[in-house]
Amino acid sequence: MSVTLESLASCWQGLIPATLYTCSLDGVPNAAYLSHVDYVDARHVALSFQFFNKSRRNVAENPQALVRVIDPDTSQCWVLRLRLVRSETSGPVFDRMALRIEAIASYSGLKGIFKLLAADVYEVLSIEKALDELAPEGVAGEGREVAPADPRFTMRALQDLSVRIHQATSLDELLDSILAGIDEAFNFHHSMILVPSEEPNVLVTIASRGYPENGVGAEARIGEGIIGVVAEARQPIRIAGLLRAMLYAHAVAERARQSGLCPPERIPLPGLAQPESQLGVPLLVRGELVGVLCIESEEPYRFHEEDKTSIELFGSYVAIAIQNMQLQERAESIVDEPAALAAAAATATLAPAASSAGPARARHEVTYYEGDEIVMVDGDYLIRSLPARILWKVLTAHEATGRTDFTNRELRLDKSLNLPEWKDNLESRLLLLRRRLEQKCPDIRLVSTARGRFALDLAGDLRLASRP
Amino acid sequence: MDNERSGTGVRPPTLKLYYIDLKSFLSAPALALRLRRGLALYSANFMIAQQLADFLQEGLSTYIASRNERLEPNAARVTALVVEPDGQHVVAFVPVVAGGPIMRDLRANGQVALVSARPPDERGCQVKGVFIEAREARDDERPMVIDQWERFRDKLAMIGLPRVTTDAWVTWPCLAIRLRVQALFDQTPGPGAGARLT
Repeated sequence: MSVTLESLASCWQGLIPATLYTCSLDGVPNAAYLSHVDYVDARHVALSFQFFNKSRRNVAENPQALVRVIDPDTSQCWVLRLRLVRSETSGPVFDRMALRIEAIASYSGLKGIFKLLAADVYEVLSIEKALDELAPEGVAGEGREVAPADPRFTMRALQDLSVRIHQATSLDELLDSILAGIDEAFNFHHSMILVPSEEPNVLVTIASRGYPENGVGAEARIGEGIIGVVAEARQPIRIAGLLRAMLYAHAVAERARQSGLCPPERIPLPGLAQPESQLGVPLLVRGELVGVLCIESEEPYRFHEEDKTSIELFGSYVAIAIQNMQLQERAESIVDEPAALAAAAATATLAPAASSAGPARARHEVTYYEGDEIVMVDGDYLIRSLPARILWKVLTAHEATGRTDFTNRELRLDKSLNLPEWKDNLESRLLLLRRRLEQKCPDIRLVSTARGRFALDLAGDLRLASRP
Repeated sequence: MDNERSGTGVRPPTLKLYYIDLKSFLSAPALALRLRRGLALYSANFMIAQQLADFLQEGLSTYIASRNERLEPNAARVTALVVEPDGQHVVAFVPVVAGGPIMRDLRANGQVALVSARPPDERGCQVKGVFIEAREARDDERPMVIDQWERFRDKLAMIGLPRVTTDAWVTWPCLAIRLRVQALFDQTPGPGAGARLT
């Protein structure tokens, strides 16, 4: 065959629906739209088996099939003559296709309904150019050779990113440098990092880049959306043409409702209002989930397979860097204990922060809801759970004694905060709290003063209230 | 990304989380009405009810399928469909340039299938039938055929495929392939996809 499957890489992204044609042994043709055609190797493709029972019955008795795929880059349609080889219900091809479908399904509340039953692997017998659905004049419709690796995606780019990571001196700096590096080296402008929350099965956004608001504190549940599915499966997922995929899922949801299956409301997509491409990579260290890196784009076919490979490789490095930084900050805060405690004692009797003096200071109502462990500022939600408990402890200590300096160590020793004894991720929680304050109430600042120490800096007057 | 409160407490941050609002996307009154009427409007004896005929003729993504003597399938894009007033016959307008293999198959064995889907909501159905006759499409049919094709392209634009995507696709001259309907199948993805409709 003169045109290769590799040269049709754009066809495997699911941007334009493909169609599958089969024939029963008694000679009745059958036609169906396909959710997804995936590239397996130079001689094979895999078709998603979800609903097309007649097609499946047909190929079971007559393995000959025909697929029409349309290249979204050229609009040229390609006709692939196929022969069913095998059906897979596990393995890398199945997993890749299933995860993509699962992520889309979770957005529509369709997990378990909209799912891959099998990946049917077909040998490609021939590839012909369709004569009716043509590329515009002047556009090469002959398929394209695989593009040479873009320099941005080379090892040099990864090396540049690793240098940034090495230069970071705090978790705060590290996370920002990771996302800035992805933006500058890979040209991926919208990204976020989520880490496990202390609440089971929840991930919380700790850093983001490229969105109108920083989004810190936004949560994703394990198993929901691309982020949750990446975390659950601990596998990377790349989705292109998300809008069409969502429409397909929506059709399934409507049908499911009509059938009485009543899937719950869809889970909203994080980040961009209308992402067309998403790439999610688990951040793993020896099998432990440190976080999830999610990158988005409004372009339908933004992330290529090589991008997934590069970001996955980078992600493994990022995961180690994040975990190391967390451990380092924790260790340093413990080593620094005597000095920290001395500092805390020294500042315990200090007057309120100097910055508290001055005219025209804003006044803020800070309310802690003990039952829900939530802090509200001026009636607006600020933060919950452990970061909320920490903030409340700091603010009440300041109100009672005028203290402004605190140490991570004393937070760890404070039983009322109820930190987990093992891997408390305190530094991550403090960073999350600091960034939420920057976003929602900049008059309250937690300023890092040294390793394992921070100071409360108030540019306004606070009125504290506790509610059950 | 923002947080929300509810009741006395505060709803934890599921927070902003934008989404594609498909409900509003699909809520144009006429479209919604047609969707609700849906595809459950087939009559017995393989007749296509008027509302389904309207659906099939509103400008959908349609392909015709046939098979040769070796039971190998063939397929081509359909520019437009017309359901005859008796509801038992359909005419598929297939570009001449792609009609060769289809016509060879149909003349040899007569087995034919049509699959139609509406891009914005993936609603679809399949018509199975037998070939009756074929002729060159007449010039006076061209405005109707092209009008239907353009309405299909409008729907593609709704899902982000600009009209330029299909500018070079061949739509005319066409063969008018007439078939008698033998069976109808629901082709909307989801539970029950592929179910026979009577």
